Amino acid sequence: MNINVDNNYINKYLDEQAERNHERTRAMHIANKKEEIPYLIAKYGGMSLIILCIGFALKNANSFTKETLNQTITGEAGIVQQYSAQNEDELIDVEALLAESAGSNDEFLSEALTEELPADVVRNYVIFDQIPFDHSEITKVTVGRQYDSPGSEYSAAWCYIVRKSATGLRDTLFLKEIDEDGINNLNVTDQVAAEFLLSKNVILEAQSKCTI
Amino acid sequence: MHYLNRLNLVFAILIISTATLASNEQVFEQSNSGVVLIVGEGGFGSGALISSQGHILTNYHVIAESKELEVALYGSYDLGDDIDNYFFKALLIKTDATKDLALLKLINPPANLNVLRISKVIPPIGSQVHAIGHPNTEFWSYTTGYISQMKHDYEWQYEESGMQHVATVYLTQTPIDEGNSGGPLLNSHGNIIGVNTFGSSSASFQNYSVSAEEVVKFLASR
Repeated sequence: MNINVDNNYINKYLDEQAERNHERTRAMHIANKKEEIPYLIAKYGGMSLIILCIGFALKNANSFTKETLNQTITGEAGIVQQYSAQNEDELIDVEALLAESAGSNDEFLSEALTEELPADVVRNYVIFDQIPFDHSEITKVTVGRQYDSPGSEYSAAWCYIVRKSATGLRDTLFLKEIDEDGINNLNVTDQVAAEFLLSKNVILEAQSKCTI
Repeated sequence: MHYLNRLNLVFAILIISTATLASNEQVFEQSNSGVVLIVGEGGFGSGALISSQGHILTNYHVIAESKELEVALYGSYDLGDDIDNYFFKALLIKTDATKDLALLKLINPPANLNVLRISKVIPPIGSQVHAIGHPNTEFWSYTTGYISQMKHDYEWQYEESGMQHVATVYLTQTPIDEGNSGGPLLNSHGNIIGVNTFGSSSASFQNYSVSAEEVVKFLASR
């Protein structure tokens, strides 16, 4: 005898149960996610902040930020030194600077070393250079260089200033001397300045002009 | 995902470390052959090549006692095996005793000199600076530090000569010692911002360099 049992309603019931469990699980999952949101924001926000900091650190690592001083310095040779706020370094054109200032010592020395002169030229002579000095009593700084022969370097050199005294006589102050014993700079003290009736700063400034 | 983030972070830190080290190394690599050793009767000091014709910037007190000057170039120049090939005679072009600066010029310099350039930018306090010189016969040694202060019309005096000097100087905590005198103080671009000149005998972190501003005035003077 065959008995037919209809199990469909059981299968349907089981399917419904499975679907309910699935929905319940999904709802719990969403609820959990909602609870996690602040922590996720904190996590990814923190990571972003760290990446940003690393970016700034990389940008500023060994960087050379510049200070804007709006300052211009004009050298005696007309060279202008300016300060700006750009990121790249700015450079002095040293070759041009040296070329402009070479009118005195550099050219002179090189000429003295290379120039071929006849044998009967004068020997043991002194060449004086006068450097203008802007002061009421001292108008120039004098540099003397002694040469044994035209082809030689100078064997001695000296630098001095001259001030006319009230008596009409002239006072000379030697600021620097070079001879076989080496370079001898005058130690400009308050006493020296007082004896020469000039300020110490003026004498120091004149001494700085002694380009020997 | 989690491990990937950690890996990225470690990688970024590694990049930062490597970048900082490479920068200091690059400053030395690009600048060391622009630094010279100056030898005279009065001792030795450092100097910086500033022109392709062989002009050398140094301190006045480095050359003050000397009538004959010899200058040694760094060993990276291809001048042969004989060490004498690296020594050159130099002429004294001009000095400024007050600012403690001197300009020399090599006689018959070799071609392709590595010339150090002079920056016209005033470095801010706290910026990193570098020194190359010959402290206590440790030739072509590199040190680094930071600008601590800029001092205008700063006055100083050496015990030996007794001469008074006045110039605008940078106070740095870059270690320098005898033999560094006349050597360049470099910014992180490897350009000259000062001339290492003297240090405090009591505080090793107080060292002074005559500023590039003074150097420019000196070079422009006749």
